[in-house]
Amino acid sequence: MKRIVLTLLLGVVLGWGVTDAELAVDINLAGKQRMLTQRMTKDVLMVVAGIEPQKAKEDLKRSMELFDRTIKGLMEGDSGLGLVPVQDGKVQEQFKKVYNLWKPFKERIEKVLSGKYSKEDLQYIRDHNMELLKEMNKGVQLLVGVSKKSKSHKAQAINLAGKERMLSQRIAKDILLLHLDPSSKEAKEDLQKSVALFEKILNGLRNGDKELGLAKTEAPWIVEELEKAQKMWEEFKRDMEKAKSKEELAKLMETSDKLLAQMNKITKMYEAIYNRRKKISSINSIVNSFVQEKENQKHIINLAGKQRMLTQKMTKEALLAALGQDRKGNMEALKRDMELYDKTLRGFEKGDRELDLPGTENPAVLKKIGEVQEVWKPFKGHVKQFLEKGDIKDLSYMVANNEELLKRSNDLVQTFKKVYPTNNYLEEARKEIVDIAGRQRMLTQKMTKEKLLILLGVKPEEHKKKLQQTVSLFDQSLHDLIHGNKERLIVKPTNKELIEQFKKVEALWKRLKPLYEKDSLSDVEKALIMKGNLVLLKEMDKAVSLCETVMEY
Amino acid sequence: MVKKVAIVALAALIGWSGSGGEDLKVKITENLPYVDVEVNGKIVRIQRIQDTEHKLRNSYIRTSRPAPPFYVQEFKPVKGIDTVGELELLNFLKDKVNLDKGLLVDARMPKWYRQGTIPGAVNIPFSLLYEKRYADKILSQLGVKIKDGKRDFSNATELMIFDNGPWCQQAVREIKNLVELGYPKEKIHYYRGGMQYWQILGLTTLKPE
Repeated sequence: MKRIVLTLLLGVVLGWGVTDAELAVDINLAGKQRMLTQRMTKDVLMVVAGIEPQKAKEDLKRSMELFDRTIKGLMEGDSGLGLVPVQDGKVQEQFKKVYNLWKPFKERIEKVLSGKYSKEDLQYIRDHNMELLKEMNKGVQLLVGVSKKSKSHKAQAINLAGKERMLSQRIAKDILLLHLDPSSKEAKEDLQKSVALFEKILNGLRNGDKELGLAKTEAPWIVEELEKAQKMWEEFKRDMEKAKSKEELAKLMETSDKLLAQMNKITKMYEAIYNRRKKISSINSIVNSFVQEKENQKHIINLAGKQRMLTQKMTKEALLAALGQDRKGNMEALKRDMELYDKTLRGFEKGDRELDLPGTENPAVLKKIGEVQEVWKPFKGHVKQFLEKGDIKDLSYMVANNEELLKRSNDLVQTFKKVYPTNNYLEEARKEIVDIAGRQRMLTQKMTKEKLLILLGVKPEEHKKKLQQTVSLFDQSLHDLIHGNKERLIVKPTNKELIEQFKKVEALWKRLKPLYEKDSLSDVEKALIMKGNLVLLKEMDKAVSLCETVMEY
Repeated sequence: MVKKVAIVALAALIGWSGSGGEDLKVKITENLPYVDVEVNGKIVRIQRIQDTEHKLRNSYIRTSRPAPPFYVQEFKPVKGIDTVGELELLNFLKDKVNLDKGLLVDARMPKWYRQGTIPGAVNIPFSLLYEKRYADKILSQLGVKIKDGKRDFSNATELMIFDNGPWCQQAVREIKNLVELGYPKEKIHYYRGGMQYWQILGLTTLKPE
């Protein structure tokens, strides 16, 4: 059941729409928009103040175009920028609001660029840049919320490191506003607030800040860049106090741009960690899903293999019960095994949570299951009759038909092996080994059944021949499993635990084999076979599990 | 798959004090004491085991394995694919993996990967790429887009792929599969030394839990 649920869950996980990595790009670029609102305003003020006006104009044009492309990209997607449209309605609504604010703002910027601007245009930019920033910021916050990262320190680090870019430009803008209008109380207050916030965020990124939802940055390569940013900031603050002349202001603006570039570099580093983690998580989900599917397939082949053994075990148990050997115990075991065979066979077709079977729609498998059912249905009827009445007729039916059931059960195993192909030598070899080792379990029961039939005098010559073949097959296969056989694709095991387990089986087999081969047995020897075959089956079963699971065969 | 990460006990043997690495007895190169890599929210330091008497005790001390399938691999098994050593791998971690510009890929089957891998590596078992539906999902995570019904590799991530070592074919199979799927050769590197050479040099390994 665990397997099935896990597979379903993984399927859901794999069905994501917008990936978190794509969302991180959205968060970063939406965050960058906040910076652009301030950078554009700063550039407008530089043009007005005559501080490197040509350079400011070029920069202004670039910022305007980028803002325009990004806001459209956030709404409609832009593969060039790596932007995907976020499906969340609230986010979309917010970006539309920003776009509506942006349109008249952009018109004024274009006027500044053309040199045909009025005082009203400048006033509009002064009055509305903060509104544009505020609404853009709301969009960023909503995006962070969508990525369920309100609790994620990393998404918050991308957001706040990105915000530092904006603050560097907002501070520069406020400095220019104060230069143009030293009495502006509003600009002074905004400058103080921005400086305090810039410092708080930078400190939060370096040392952690619960209030801001920031964890201390541990990645040494980011810490190194944060230290550089801190030094730049200190230099900027020192110069800010004394900048009066146009040249000094121009130098200050240059430093603010360097600070912006540095914070941009840091934002990208946070974004990289975030994206990488998400990418790895998605890859792990895909790989888990794949591994789970392969485990399911191996589990099915193993259960199908066990069915072969059950066909022989049931017949053996019926014979023992008929002989009066622990009749009660053998009848109970027969009932259990009949129910298990039936449940497993149904599980192959319809699925069975308890047995971890998902069911199948594969036509080849369904056909083979049908062929097994043809033999199993009447066989099961006779087992039931035997359990109720102990009639020898039913036992005779089982004796006469168990090998046909075994053959069809084996055909089903081979069909499963075909429909679940493996694509490398080791896996193919492993599958063969598990099949051969799995078949050994069946042989322990088959040879015991045959021995019983001989002892009962049921077609003794025919069963003697069969027993010889079964013993020989078990013998040869055990030898191959221990020593390897290239022709049969059996690799010699090197795993210590597995070697030990095969040695254990070999030791048991050495004691039992002569008894199977002996014509007449004492009661003690018969009892040895009856107990010993179950021990041999159990130890062989352990070996099969090891063949399946050991890392290095 | 990787929920938590535990540094293999080797870290304890190293006796690393958390300093800048100047006091390390066994550096990677004269100027490179260690490399840090981010793994699942934690910073893992890759350096060499400081105990100069240390010897491997795991299965990588074995010299010979049955062949087939464990034949010795060619130095350049696929024409056009760059074969690299440990220093190139460490630089790849530093300059590409940490900045999400590349992915270090452990091509082995998950059973092997879970026993220990190179810090920063992600497990993409080579056999997975044989199955189209899984291959497509993995490629999409590697930045491959579908354009006009065809795979577009222009934004495909740079990959460095490794396995158990020169006697193992899993990385080579993965590389061949990727090339067959259309992955650009110049975006694939092969670390042939694999886990065996990595551990012989006493470099840090990591056990994903």
